[in-house]
Parts: sequence; C-alpha cells; structure tokens
Amino acid sequence: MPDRKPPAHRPVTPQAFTRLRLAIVLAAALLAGGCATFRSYQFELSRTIDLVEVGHPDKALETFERFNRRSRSSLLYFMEKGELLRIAGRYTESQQAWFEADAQVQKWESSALANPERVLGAAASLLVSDASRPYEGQDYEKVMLTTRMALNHLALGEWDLARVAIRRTHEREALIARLREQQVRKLEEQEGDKARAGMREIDGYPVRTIDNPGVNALRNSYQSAFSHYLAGFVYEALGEPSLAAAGYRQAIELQPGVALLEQGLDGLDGRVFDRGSGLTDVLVVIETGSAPARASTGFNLPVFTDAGLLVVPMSFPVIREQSGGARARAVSMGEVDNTGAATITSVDLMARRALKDDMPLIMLRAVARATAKGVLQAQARRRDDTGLAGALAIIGTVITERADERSWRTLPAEIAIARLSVAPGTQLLEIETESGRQALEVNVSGRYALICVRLIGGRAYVAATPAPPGQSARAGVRHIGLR
Amino acid sequence: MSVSPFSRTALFVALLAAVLAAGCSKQVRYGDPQAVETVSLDFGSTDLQTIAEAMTRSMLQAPVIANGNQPIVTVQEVRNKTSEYIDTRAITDSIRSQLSRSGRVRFAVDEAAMQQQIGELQRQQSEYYERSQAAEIGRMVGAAYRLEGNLVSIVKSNKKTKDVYYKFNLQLWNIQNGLLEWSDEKEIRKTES
Repeated sequence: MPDRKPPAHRPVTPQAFTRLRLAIVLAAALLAGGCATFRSYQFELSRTIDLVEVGHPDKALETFERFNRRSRSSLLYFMEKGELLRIAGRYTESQQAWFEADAQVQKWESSALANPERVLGAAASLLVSDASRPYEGQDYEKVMLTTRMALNHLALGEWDLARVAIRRTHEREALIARLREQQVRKLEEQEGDKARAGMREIDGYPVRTIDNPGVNALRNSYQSAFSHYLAGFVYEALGEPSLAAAGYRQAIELQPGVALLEQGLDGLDGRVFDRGSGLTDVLVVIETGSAPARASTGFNLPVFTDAGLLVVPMSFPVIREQSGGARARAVSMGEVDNTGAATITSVDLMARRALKDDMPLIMLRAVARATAKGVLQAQARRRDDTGLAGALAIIGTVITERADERSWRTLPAEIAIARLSVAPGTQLLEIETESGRQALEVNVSGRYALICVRLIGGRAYVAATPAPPGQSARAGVRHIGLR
Repeated sequence: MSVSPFSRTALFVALLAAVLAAGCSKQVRYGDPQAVETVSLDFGSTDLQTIAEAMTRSMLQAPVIANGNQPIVTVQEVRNKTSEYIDTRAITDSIRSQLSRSGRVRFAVDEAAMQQQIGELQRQQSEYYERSQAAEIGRMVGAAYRLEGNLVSIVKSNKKTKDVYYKFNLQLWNIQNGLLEWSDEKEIRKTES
C-alpha cells in the first residue's frame, strides 16, 4: 500500500484563533436567542386576528398553527389557541388547550412559592434579548386564564367546575399580590429612587401610552372587576350568597361608582331567597376588540472608547395607542328595553399597567445587557487588529437587541356587562354599540343564565350557558346579524 | 492507599448528585388539622376553628339551649361582609356539627338544603317506592329558632405592617315571637409585619 501524505495545513496563528473564538461566542449568542429573537410575534398574531375579524375563526386557527409549527408547547401558544378555539365555539378543545396552559402557570406558582427569589430575580441580565427568555405570562394573563376557563365551563353547563376555576383565580391573585409586594420592597431596597424613575428617563419613549389617568386608576395590573363580578354571579347561581357578596364587593372596590356593580351586591339577598318570580336572571357579557400589541422600539448609542467606536444597542417594548373598538352601550332583551351596559374591565389598560409596572426591571435588564454587549464589542476590537471581529460583534449585538413583543393578543380589549331578568324561552337580544346594533336570538332557561358575546371587527361570536343543574334545558343561540 | 484524581472527581460528582437529588425531592406529610396556621393574614383554618368553638361553647350555655328540651333550630345565612372569599357556610357547618354532637339541639332543614329535601320527598311519591315506607308530604317539622349572623373585617396597612380584624356575630332568634334568645361574637386580630 502506498504511503499517503498527510494534507498540508497552514499553521494557525494566535490572531486567527482569537477571531475564531470570538466568532463562536457570537454565533452561540445568536443561537441562544434563536428564532425567538427574530420572530415577529405581533405580525403573526395580527394576521391571525384579521381572520377572526372577517368571520373565519377556523382559518385563523390554521394560520396560527402554521406560525407555531416549532413552538407548540409554550404557555403563550396554549393561551392563544384556547381563545381561538373558544371563539370558534369549540369549548371542549379550548378547555384542553387552557388546561395545558394552566399546568404551566401552576408550575410557575409552585416555583414562586418554593423560591420567590428566583421569580423576582427575573432582573438577571441576558446577553441576547428579553425575547429569548421563556415566556412566563403577564400577571393579568395568568388571572384571566382561569377566568376564561370558568367561562368555558359555563358554556358547557359545568357550573361546579366553573366554581373551581373561579376559586383558583382568587388563589392565583393572592399569590401574585404577595409576590409583587415582595418585588416592590426588594427593588426599592436595591435601587431606591432609581426604580421609581422608570421610563421617564428614556428619551423619546411614548410615556403617555402607559402613564395616564386610565392606567394609573387601576389598583394593579392583574385584578379585574369582571373576574370578581363573574365569581359573584356563579356563587349566587350556586346558592352561596356569602361568597357571592365577596365577589360583588371586590368588583365594586376595583371599579367604584358603577351602579350596575352596586346593584349586584344590593339585590343579592332578595335574588337568592326569591324563588317565585319564574324569571331568568341573565348576565350578558360583551367582549370587544383584542388585547393591545407590544412593539419593540430602540436606539443604538455610539460610544467612543480606547478600543474604538462601540455601538451600544438598547430596546424597550411600547404599546401604541389603539382604537377602542365598538364599545357596548345598552342591551335590550324580552320585556327589558335599553338597559345600560357598563364596561367594567379593560384588558388594554391592564396590559399597559403591566408594562408600566415592569419598566423598572426591563430598564435594569436593558442596561445590564447593553453593558455586556459593549464589553463584548470592546473585547472583540482589542483582540483582533483587522477589525473584522469587532465589526461582527457590533452587527451581532445590534441585530439581536429586540424588546419582548409577546403577549396574549386574542384576549378581548374590553369587557362590558349588562344584567336583566327575562321570561324563560326564546328572546331577541339586541346589543347597541358605538358602531350599530347586533341582534341575536337566544333561548334562556333556568334561574340563572350567562350569554357571552365577543364583538370583533363587526362580527359577533356567542357563547350561551345552559341552565344550572336540574333547571331545565340548554340555551340555544341564533345570530341574526348587524342592524 | 492513594486515591486517583479520577476517583476523587467521581466521588465529588456522586456526592453533588446526591445532595442535588435530596434538595429537589419534595416530601409530602400529614399535619395536625388543629395546628395553628399562620401562613398568611387571610382567613384560615385556625380562624374557622376558633370561631366555631367559641360560638358553640357560648350557645350551649344559653338558657334556651341549656334548659330547653332539644330545641329545633334552622341555620340561616351568615352574611360575609368582608372583601375576602370566605365560605361562612363552612363556619356554620362546624358549629352545627359541634352542637349536634352535644345532643342538646336538633336541626331542621335549612334554606340551602330545601330544594334537595323537596326533590327527595317528591321522588318518594313515585310508583317506584313502597307506599307504606315512602316519606309523606306534609310531615316536615318546622324549627322553633333560627340562627343567623354576620362576619365583618377591617383591614389596615402601611408600608411595614398589615392588620386584619375579624368580628363574627351570631344570633339565635325565636321564630314564633321574634325575640332574640341568644347572641355572641368572636373577635380575631392578626398582624403581619
């Protein structure tokens, strides 16, 4: 066998080795960010919601699944999927998706209980971007999840299970309240006044979008009057006035001065012990629009150092102003003409409040990340005379800098309620909104019934509950259309 | 005997793994249901037990119970006037159980259970039941007294301290003449700092 000559290798110079090492570090940083960094979540969800708005919820679901071929196990995937399935009237499947999401939130809860420091320590800096972090959900999304699961249970006639979901909502709220209290205390101890300064220090940030009277009037980002009013209604329907009273009272405390909420508490005893009227007490829930989108905004700060010109990238999420949608004004049904509808929860404002409350931590992470990226660029410049590694470092650190745009977009933007007593049977339900009247034919029965209407892009998606157990037949719905 | 560096490393890794495994595993154990619970300021099991015991003890000493001949009582609503989701029926259920165990009070069906009671009576009138053994309609016994009450709370907090005050009030009313036969209250104060 002839001797084979080994291939000739050029000797590796130390400079080439340094360049290679830097390239590996940069590539690793990019890979760590992965698709999450470059994926435009808002583009995907806008396309999906557009299809819901034109009356194609099943196509919206297909589109959503196509966008999520590689991430069908994340919390956000299950939250959005559950909502799309609910809009399409597929409540059992919707509930399955939300059970998956809830299991993930429960894991977060266990971890928060066992180690609050870890949850609060989300301030830890990341080299790539906030978007590359696993999505743990906003506080208001976690609370809304069990509220919406309760609505699904009601649509399936499972009042007792709705009660379970509602109880879980209270427990979740209490846990979040405790955690956030600790977080605020810790942040104030560590950062003092700096933590309170927040986004006012960022030039050009649209502060008004998250710091306005509407946002500031909220007690916090995660408690909603609707969740508590719904709790009151379900407890009342199940004959538990002591718990119902707490639900109505909390709703009043969260949205003071709304007559409809006060009537819920004032008339409670009368309603619970009045079994003779034969009327059906109907709670009409009118959900409008979709939750606001977060967008990434940022700037690149040129810094002149001994190592040469560095470009320090910084990015922050913003929530742009969005049109409020067709807000519900009044409802007519049966003998009841034009009873007022009150908007009691704005997910739009809750999302803005969540961003406002998170801003100090987002800023801390952004500053830490910018520093790390600056150091990386300086190292690259110092170790490679050709300037190639430095240029690569600048490009890599700048293009990976993107604020986290993820949020539960298919949630409604606003939730209004109306409550009326009507004779059981088929009734015409008319909802007067700012853009016209929606008419629906609904069949109500039993002592209590809930009709949930989602108005989005001129379309109405309706979920009507069957009566509580042992109280007559299922309610039916026929959509008549826009008038 | 010398230990090779490889063995030392293996030993260290094994020890670390053991420590981590022990640290990650969660233990489940039974606890004493009567033990004092101070996990949070919210209304909890100790509050429920304290109120139920205090109310039962006091009520058993009321002349209408102590000197009566097993009076018949019906439990009505204890109104929850707090903003907390407190199931006051759980408190009245405990009071009713303890009074029943004393053998000095009997209870008539209450408002919440009336629907099931009527449903069962009507069911027994169907052709599936032996006529002679079926419960007859019109034979239910009305209560002589009704038990009702209120639970209120006052919550105050500042940056360092949170204080919760609960007041549970229970009243026994004579249904025939509308007289208040007995009333007592139990206060609880909890502070977190």
